[in-house]
Amino acid sequence: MDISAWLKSLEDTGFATGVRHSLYLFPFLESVHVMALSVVFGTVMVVDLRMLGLASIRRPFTRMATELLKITWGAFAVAALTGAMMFMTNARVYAANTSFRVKMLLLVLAAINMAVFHLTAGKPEAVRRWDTAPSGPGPAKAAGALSLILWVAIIVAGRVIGFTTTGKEAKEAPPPAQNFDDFLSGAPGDSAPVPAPAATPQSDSTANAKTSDLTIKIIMDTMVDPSGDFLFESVADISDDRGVTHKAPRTAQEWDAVRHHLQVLIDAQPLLIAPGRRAANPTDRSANPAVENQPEEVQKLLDAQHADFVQRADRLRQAAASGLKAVDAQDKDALLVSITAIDKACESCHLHYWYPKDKRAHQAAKEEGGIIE
Amino acid sequence: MNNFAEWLSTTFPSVFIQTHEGWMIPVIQSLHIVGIGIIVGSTLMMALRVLGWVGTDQTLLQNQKRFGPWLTIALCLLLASGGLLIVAEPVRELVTLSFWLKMAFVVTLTVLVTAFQASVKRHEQRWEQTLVKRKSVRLGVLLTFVILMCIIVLGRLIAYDHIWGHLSPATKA
Repeated sequence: MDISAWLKSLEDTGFATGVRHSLYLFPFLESVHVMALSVVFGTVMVVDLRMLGLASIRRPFTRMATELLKITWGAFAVAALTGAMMFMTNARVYAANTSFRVKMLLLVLAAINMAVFHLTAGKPEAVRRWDTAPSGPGPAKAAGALSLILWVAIIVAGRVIGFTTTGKEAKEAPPPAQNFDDFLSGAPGDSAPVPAPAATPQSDSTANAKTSDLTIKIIMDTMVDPSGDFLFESVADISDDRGVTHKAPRTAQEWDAVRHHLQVLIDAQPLLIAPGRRAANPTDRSANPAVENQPEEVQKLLDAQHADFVQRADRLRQAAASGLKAVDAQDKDALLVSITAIDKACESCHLHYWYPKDKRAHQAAKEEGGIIE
Repeated sequence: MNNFAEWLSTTFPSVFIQTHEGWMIPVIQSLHIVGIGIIVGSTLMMALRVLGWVGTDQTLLQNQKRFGPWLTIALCLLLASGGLLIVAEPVRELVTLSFWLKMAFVVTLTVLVTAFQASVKRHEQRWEQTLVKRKSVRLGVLLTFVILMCIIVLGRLIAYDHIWGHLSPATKA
């Protein structure tokens, strides 16, 4: 089996899918990982400083090392386990990520450093000669210094992973699954769990937002709205005097059309969040300023809350991506769930940035469970 | 707080970090994690010494003198790097429930650990002979460590504040 297929099979495991669908599990794994690594780093540092003769110089080295390394190894096991679990959720992206590779290389170097130490100055018969001395011999000092440097570098590389895989925003934004309110009420969440698609590399189109005169409004008018309208019309339960009829794509062409419009929504996301993208032209005045924000007000909100906007745009993309899966399976019920999630993603974002003063719309969205503001 | 955060995000230092966020934020966060590592390591050493699990060849006071100053150094590093992270992304930090819960726990932990250190200095004999054996003290040690772990979890949750649902101020328009 080639590596890529193996990585994909890791992502497809029930565990990895479960983590991606949960709002809690990834942050939980990350938190446990940070706890464990801080114990590893904290205890390693105590031993390294002893080897360097900078602290605990009156304590026998072997006694300290024996006491602490048990804790270090226990914590390392937890860090490795939680690390592997996080890796599984997005294996192909991590495996291709430079920071991740650097981190793994640094871990190997740290292991080699430790092995060399144990074969030289750290051998039991060698340690006996300096066990109670204030500092270790040259090789022990070198191992201690190298260990400190490597572990700090491991922390840095680890943190950079989160900023270079799915992009800081996508990585740190919660998926639109459940939150604490749903947990309290036992409700299944404000939208159906959608698979978190593999990271979309930043497209080149994001680079030129500052020079392009496309605004968010133009992207909405020309791409998002027409496709959204098409999708909202494509699946519906129509209840009228003839009873309830289910409207859904039937032919291959109809399913393809739905797929294309979902793809438009997915591709619109990087355009919407491109750095420097303006909300609208100053001349696009609101017809109803009592409830709608003017372009400059929207802009102010967007500037102050870019990460939030990115998260909301990602919610739209994820909902559309789940729709693609429904199309693949020609599952009209799943498609309806996705389209409802798209509708809620749109409305929730509009309520936040565009017409926050619209109390009636807020009330309606709340009743439909559409707000995750 | 919202207005303050939004104002802060327009100030020069904030804009400077934001425009260099590609490397500055991960670097500052890494420094922050190094600081957390020092705090966890030192607190663990002090906690396990009180429990009598490690370092029993040292008195409590010797142990406190070895690790206490590192707690102070790391706290300064954490306040500095944490402060920079707030300046960099004020809205993301200040308008979250996780951040304020974390701060409450940070203050509690600082008070607890400072009080412990002062008390060991003042009543060394009493600590060595009776206090370390008390169940309440041993529970307190455990509680201190739980608080520290909560701080770490809440720190990570700042990025995921929507988890708190309506309790999160970030969810209010």
